[in-house]
Amino acid sequence: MKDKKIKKKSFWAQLKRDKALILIVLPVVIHYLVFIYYPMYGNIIAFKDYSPVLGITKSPWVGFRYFIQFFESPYFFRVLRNTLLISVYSILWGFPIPIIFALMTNDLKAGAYKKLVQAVSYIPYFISTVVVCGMLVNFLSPSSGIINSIIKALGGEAINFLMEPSWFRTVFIASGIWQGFGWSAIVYLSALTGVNPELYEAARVDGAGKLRQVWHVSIPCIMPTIIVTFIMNLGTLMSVGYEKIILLYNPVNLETADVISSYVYRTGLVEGNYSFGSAVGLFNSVINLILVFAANKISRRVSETSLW
Amino acid sequence: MKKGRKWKLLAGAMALVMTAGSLTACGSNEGQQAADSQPQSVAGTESAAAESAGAQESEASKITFPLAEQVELTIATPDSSVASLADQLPVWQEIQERTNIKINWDVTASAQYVEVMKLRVTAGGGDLPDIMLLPNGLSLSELGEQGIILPLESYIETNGENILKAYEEFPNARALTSADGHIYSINQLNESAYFSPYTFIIRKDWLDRLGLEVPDTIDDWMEVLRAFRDEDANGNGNPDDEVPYSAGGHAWYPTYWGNAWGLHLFQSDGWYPDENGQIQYEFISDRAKEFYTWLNGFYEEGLLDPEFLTLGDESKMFEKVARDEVGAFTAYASNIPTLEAALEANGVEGAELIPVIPPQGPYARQVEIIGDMSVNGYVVTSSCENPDVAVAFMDYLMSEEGSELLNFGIEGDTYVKEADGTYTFTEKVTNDPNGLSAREALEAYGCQVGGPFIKSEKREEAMLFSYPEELRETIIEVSDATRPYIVPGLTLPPATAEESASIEGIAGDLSTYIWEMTGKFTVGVSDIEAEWDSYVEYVHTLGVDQLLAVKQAQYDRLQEAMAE
Repeated sequence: MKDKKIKKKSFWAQLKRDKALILIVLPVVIHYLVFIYYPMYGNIIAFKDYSPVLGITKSPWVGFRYFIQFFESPYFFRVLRNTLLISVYSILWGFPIPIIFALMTNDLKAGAYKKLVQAVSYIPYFISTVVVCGMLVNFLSPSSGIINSIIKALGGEAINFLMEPSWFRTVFIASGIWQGFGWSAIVYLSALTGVNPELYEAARVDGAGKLRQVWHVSIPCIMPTIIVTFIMNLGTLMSVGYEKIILLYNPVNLETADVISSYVYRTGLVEGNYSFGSAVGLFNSVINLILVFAANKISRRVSETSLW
Repeated sequence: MKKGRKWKLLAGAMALVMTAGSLTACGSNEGQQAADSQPQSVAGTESAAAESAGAQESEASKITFPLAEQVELTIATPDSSVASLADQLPVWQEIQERTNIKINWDVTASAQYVEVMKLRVTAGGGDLPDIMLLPNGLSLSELGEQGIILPLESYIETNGENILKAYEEFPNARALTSADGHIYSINQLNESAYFSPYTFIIRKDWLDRLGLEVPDTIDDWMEVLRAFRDEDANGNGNPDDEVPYSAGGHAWYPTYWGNAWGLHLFQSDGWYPDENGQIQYEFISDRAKEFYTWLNGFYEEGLLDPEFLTLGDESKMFEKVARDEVGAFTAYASNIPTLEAALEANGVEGAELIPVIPPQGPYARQVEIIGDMSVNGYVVTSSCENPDVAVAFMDYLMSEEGSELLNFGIEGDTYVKEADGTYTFTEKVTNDPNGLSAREALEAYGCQVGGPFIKSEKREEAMLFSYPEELRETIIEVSDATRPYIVPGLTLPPATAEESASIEGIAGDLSTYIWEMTGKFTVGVSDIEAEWDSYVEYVHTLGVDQLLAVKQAQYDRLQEAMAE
């Protein structure tokens, strides 16, 4: 009894002590409660035949009907395959590049040039998807695009990139990397600034060259950051956003371009089938969640670094 | 490493929240709507307007404008892209003054209107506007059954004399707005549907430069387009920079050529009755196979713009036209003045675009038009407190006075009515100080936006007077020559609730498949000879027969209603 009382008291004491911090974090907590946690309640329409008049609570339950409709859809395997391939390749190619870029810029001498390199690398992140896609269509145009002009100048045949199913993933992922690598590198750059300079000195004394220093000092020091970022990336494996897909796809590249989210966009949003859309969204999220848990567990076993 | 642990904790927390975030599906506030969406008692509506001075004793609810007491109406409608209705455009100010109705605009950019409104209606809640344009994809009968929108026929009987008159003039309008015997919507009607429809447009100056005639048959067209491809049609010294025929951004666009095969792919999406009144899905017909084979050759020969699928939208195609690269395309003739001006601004001298009558093909010379009424009309929701006023107001918009306001603007300011009944637009419209085209200037004035109205043919004729004389004459001539070949696209009355339920989820997958295969057959990625049978079979697998059954029932209802 006495114990509890002391504990409680200390909790209030802590609260009082940290009231400024709590105040700072409050808006964020409210944001998540209102915009993230509260809407999760709407997920139950995935199991209901949602009718606007009846509302969420009174719409009749239909169990897994919409999940089954999705699994039985003629496009299920195609969109699942495309989503996974785009995600896996994005991680495969897109994940190491920011790390390499961060390691490279980290060794630049601080100054105007370093700042310029950083700024130039992450500015594309702020360009809207619509504009990026417009640029892609223009640059890749077989008649007037700059890429094809270069190919033709080098004596090659113009490639109609957006009309070749085999090129879609490359275009999609490469442009994604271009747009995002500078931004993603920021996390690693900040981790690198936290590396104790004495470690580099010690390595130099031991006769390590630049590459050795990177290999034996920089990378091990930012490894926890890399692993955590990787696990978080796995959590988005099933969610390839629909905006860029829809702006770039056409009948001819559809077989490699159509993903789950663009399918949901057409069937759920455009056709107004909200229950179906929620069911697919929920299916995606559950798989993402499983992946994060699995990756976390594996990572904890293997490297002793994990999210939680 | 304390620092490392802290970071891990933070990252862990972030990851947790982010995963949670990805779980989110569409949020919606329910709660209130159960109570709000009960259909309001229709009979008991006693509006302020009913007591207005002009009302006759015998018809207690007969409404005359201006109302004795001001009534407020909220109207949801796609906004004009030239000026916002929310800024109180002159025509609508005038309408509000003449009716003593205060309009609260609830506007959405037209490109987003359907998605935004659909979500608002389906998410429920009691905040629906009094009157709204029903967004595409929602079922009239379902919403009516659920009481979200009100049946209007009793109000139309008392206060809808102009609407009733319009039903006489457009016999399909009534049939098309009701699903279960009730009338739920007041639709925009189009007197001018047959006037200067969407058509082929060709560069006359290119033809002249190469000494060619305006093409008349499909074979003529092929010859002309081949010449555009091979020769220096734009006269810039380079014979290789011409695109003979361009189309904007969608696999559907080239299906416009299907008209010459007697197909109705472009406006009716391939759903069309045969001579026995049986609805067919023409995308899987034998003629479609012949047409696709031709279209594929058209593409392979380099006559169709190789970028037709990636251009994005029509405006990108127009940019190409303005760059002096395109010989022919499809558009409304009303686009010509803007395009010619753009060509001139780009330094092209003597550029001349002309509309062409539809070509004679192997099976037909025809052009399919959208039809004379919009599929979606304005509905009155259960949130409306004065549905009788709302209907009377829409009836006013359909009246002669309302039509004049919405088609021509305000007399003396934007137009003058001649003694012979024709209309002439003033300088204010034809020579806008901000450089707007006559059409845009009128829209910025408040014409042809905001509510249901009858699109006047006289307006289209008057509009031509803002064009150069030669172009005006060509358009009238071609429009008259085209008229005998016009076939209206199929507009079906709304499906019933059971019908909608029986085809749930089919149409989306089917249209995706047709879209994909149309593109692939055109470009030649899929071989027509080898894959046609499996294509047809797959369309059946996707459930085309269920869709056909429902469309047939809808069509039969339309026929019955028209026969009455």
